[in-house]
Amino acid sequence: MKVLIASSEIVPFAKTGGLADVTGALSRALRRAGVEADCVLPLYRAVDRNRFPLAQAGPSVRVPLGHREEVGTVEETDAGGGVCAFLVRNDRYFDREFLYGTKDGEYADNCERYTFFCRAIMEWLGRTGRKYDVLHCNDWQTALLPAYGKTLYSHEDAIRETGTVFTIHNLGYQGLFWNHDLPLTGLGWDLFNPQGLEFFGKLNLMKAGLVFADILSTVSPTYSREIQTPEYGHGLDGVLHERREDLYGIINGIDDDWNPATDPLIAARFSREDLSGKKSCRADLLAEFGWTGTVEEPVIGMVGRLTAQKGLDLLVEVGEWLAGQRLRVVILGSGERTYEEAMADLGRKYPDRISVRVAYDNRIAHKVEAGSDIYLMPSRYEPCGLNQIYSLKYGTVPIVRHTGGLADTVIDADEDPSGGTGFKFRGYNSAELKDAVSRAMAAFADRSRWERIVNRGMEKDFSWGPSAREYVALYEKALRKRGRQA
Amino acid sequence: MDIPPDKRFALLSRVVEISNSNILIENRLKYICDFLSRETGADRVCIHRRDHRGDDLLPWVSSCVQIDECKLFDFRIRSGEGVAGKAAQKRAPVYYPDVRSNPPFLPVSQELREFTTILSVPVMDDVYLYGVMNVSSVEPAEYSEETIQLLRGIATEVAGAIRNSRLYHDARKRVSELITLNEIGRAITSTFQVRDILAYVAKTTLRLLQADGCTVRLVGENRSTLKVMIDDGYSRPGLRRELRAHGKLLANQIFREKRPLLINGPEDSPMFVPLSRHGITSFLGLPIVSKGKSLGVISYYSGSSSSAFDMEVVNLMQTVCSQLANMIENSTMYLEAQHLAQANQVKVQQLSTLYDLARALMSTVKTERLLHIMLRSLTSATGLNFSRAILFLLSDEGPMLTGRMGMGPRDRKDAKRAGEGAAGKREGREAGAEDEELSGLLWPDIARVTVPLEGSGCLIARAVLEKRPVRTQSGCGNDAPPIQELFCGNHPKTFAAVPLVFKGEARGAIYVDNQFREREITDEDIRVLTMFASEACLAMENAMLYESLESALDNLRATQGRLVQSEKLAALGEMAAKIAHEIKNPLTVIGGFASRLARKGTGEEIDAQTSAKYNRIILKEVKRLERIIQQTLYFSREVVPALRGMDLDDEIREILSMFREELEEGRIVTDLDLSAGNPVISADPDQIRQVLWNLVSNSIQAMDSGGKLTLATRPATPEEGDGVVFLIGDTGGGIPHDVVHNIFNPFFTTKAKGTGLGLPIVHTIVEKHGGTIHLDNREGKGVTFSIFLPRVSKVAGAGERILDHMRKGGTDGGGVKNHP
Repeated sequence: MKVLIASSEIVPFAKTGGLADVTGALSRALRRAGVEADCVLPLYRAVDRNRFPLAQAGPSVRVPLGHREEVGTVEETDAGGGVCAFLVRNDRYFDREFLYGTKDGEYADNCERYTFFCRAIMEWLGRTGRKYDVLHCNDWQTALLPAYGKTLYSHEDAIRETGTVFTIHNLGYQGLFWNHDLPLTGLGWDLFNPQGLEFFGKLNLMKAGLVFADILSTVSPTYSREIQTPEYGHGLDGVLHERREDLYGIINGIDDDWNPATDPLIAARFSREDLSGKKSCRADLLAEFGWTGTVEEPVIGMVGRLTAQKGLDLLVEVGEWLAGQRLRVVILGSGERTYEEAMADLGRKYPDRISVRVAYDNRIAHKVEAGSDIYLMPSRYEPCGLNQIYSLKYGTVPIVRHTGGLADTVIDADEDPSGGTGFKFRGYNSAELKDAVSRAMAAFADRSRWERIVNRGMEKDFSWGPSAREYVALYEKALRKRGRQA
Repeated sequence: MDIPPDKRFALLSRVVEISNSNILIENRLKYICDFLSRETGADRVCIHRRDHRGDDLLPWVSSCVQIDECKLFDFRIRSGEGVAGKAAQKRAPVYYPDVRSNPPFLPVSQELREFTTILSVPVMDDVYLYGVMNVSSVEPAEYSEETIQLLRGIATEVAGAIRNSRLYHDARKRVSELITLNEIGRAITSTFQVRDILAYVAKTTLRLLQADGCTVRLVGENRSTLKVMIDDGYSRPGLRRELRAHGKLLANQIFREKRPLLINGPEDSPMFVPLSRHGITSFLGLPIVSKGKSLGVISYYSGSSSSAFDMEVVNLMQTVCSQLANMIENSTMYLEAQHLAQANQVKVQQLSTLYDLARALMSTVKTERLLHIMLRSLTSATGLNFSRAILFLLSDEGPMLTGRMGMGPRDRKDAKRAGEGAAGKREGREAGAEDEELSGLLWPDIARVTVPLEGSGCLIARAVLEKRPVRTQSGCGNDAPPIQELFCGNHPKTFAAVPLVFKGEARGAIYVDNQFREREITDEDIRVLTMFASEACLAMENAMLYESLESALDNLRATQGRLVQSEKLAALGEMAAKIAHEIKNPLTVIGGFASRLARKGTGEEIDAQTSAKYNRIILKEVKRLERIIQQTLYFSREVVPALRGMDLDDEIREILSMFREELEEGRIVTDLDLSAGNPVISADPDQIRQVLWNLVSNSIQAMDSGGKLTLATRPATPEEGDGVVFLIGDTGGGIPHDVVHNIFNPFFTTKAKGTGLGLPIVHTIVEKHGGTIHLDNREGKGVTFSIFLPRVSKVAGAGERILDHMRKGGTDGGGVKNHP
């Protein structure tokens, strides 16, 4: 089976978030599972051309964009692990410092940029006659691909029989644009209705994927159910509910980079069998965050974007309470300025309890995962979440809100004393969060119980192998929908 | 609060950097607000934008709240109100160091809030005011002139960013509209289906304009009232119904005035108020006008302020409307043309069916066969395709109609078989089998069906009485079938009857129905049926005429036969009389001289010399009798020439010597010109002698007062053939031209003593020898016969036929006509 994974960011070429990790790792895992997986993304300025020498793949393509045409090329390079990466090049659109916009806002022409990206892929497939059995699209930036496959390019030999899978990594980002951007896409106004690409008078690119893809998936079974409800649906719960028969959830695997036994970024290697290295990591982490001396109390770590989605508003609420507990909190992340400032304030106010690093730093992120005792993830919603999985692997017990992928990957140690791997709270409120933290602290006090919880977490297999196999099953479903045998 | 001079440049350059970045305008403004708030220490920096429909200021982005949260601060600052309104009015910075103790003239509470110091800087370029930037702080703050100048510069930079953003925005919108317009244009020219296009245009423009509802009305057939063709949008339940009456009023106004109508406020139209009661704040209606004639109206309704229609939309939609108008006109013309073409085609089809049927009808003159063809034409799928047909004719026995012939299925089984037969026929079955099938569908007992003309109430009778077609879908009205269950009361409710009119007189009718089938009898069917009936009448008339002509001819033949017989007898009698007359004279002469000779011994002895003389006279007369008898006999037996080699010149000399006496008596000189080179010919000498004898004798008789007899021979020229030509000419005055064509007819004669057989015999003999006769007749002078005889005589045919005719007494007209 030949699969082309299209994404706006893919490790190791360009990354702003988990999407890049998932698409990068999935393509390599698929190769290992015997699937001929390639990937395609835009050629950003961030792509390291020394590491990845580019060669033009096929002729340049002319891409109609509204009333005019943009020319682009597709460059080819080796992504490692047998994966061939294609990079769509148009320097006007992609030779920029950032992927989607500066930290102050999105580029005003994002609709045009990703419309170009999708249409260039279609033109290129048509021109070169490259045939893939399945086109795996991810998030709104590639959501036009399934729509094109079923409309403007439905007669292209290379595309006609291709199944499409559309994966929602984060429903919160839908690619909402002005209605006057519709003609750019080349799709007719007849698709601009609530059953099509319209979303309260605006153009919603993600809907193109939701409506036209053969198979839909999201990154955890719980999230796939949650998004069919108004609470999590971001206004798309209706469309998703309508397509529930074709909607699946597959938990992301994690990268091999995240393995305490081999991780070069942490102070000492450790494993389930020999946890001694974790102590060095803990000391290293405390030092990194400016604390010296013996620290008995549990260390709670947190890494990630400082946004409301990650539960920062809840954290702001319980900040004072946390500072009053017998524990240490380390926070690494950047995001919305208000939360950045709120967290920085907390750190300044309680330097003995809370230490905050407003930054994005992969090295420190590894240190936090390895050196903390507890990992806190009070997300408002979480499609999959990776950090709680890293935590499990690194013997750091997660406290998570029971939502999305968090619900699927963490087992509450009080609800299931023999199988628990962490602590969960359901309601998005400070009381329940406080309760979960208290329960974790209580468990931490019971060393043997705590070790069992840690052990069970480290035992779990979150590698990409099983996830890749589940994706293969989805691809087969997509093919069957196209009337083809897998 | 003041910005130290050393930081001013860095601050300004950062603002310029942000305002020129490629991110969304709100993001840029938000960043600038946040940045300024941080750098100046102000508690809030807020940019108000100017409402696009006036001078009111609306909060847009602010440093304290998220961009999308700014919408929640829903208040307006009118020009001149508050601090910002004053700055907008003055187009200059307005500075209130302490609004609490010294508030603006018209304070706006949402603007003041808990602030003490407010500095308002207009966001404007040299022409246009885009909004106002408020820098507010809770604690009292002071701004130096330099700082205010700096903020003014920043506001100008912001104005530039907003202007650029609007231009970019407008350009994209324009492009979007152009693309859509282009698409609509393409769609409009792609089809003639008006309704499809209207639906497409309504749907597309509705979404392009972000309208809440669109209705297209087109003028009806009567060219005066508008009819709703398309409704699109109206997603709020009941909205369409609520707007119907208002929409109709507005549409009629636009239709009349042929001008677009844009309503965005009560000043535009009194209709604004009633519309706004249904949540509609913007209305646009456009006429669809072609060549100065209104064809319809498109109306758009919008209930959201963000998608109020403006003049740009009007212009855009006018383009669409003019395209639509053309399309509708074209479509109307196309449909008319198509309609005409279809009607023509139907006509042609019918005419060609009728023509085929007429040809079939004319293919026979036999009545029985013709009726058969008629009924087949009526019931065949390639003909008029009725299910059943019955022919009724007026009875000879009284004022009633009698079934003459009926065809078609009597029951469902028959119908099924007929259907299969028709299908089989298409596969090319043999004609015989088909005929058999058809005769299976004939109604053998149809003659039993009789319908009284008067008083029966039967619709077929009515068709005959009124001489017009009758059609019904509700039966004939005769509930109880009183007469025959074979037909009456046994036919479907839907049937038709057309009269058969011969020369203005209805003599019967054709009944048709579609029993066992789902087919109506249409007006068109009746028309074609009527035409067929008149064709059928013609054919039937022809057949009857032919039949009467044939019997007349038979009569004539019998009469003629009888006539010929009697004429033959008459001719014979005449001939007998002529012969008797001919014989009588010689017999009298012979009798006279014989009785004188018989007186011997009675005393009146005659001498030997006288006796010899008498004997000679008697012999001569006997010879004459023999000749008469011989000639007469010529017609009673076949004379076949006995060909021998003979010399024509010898025969001529011989004949001349025979006539010497008569020539001398008649004072006729002879001119003999015999060619020496004549070939010997093969002929019957006796018959040739008779030819010569008859011709010379005729010539001598013609010259009763003397003249010249010319006799000549010569070899025939190559054109004439291989043989001899001889000429016999006289100076007897010729033959009158009015009788010359009769001279070779038997019994024609101009002489008192002739049998009229001489020349016919000549003619016959010459023909039998394969020769020809040429006649040179000069009236008043004489006649010359020139006769060609071939060297080797061919067995002739034409003459034989003539003789044949004569022997049989002549059945052709010639024999009758030529008899004098």
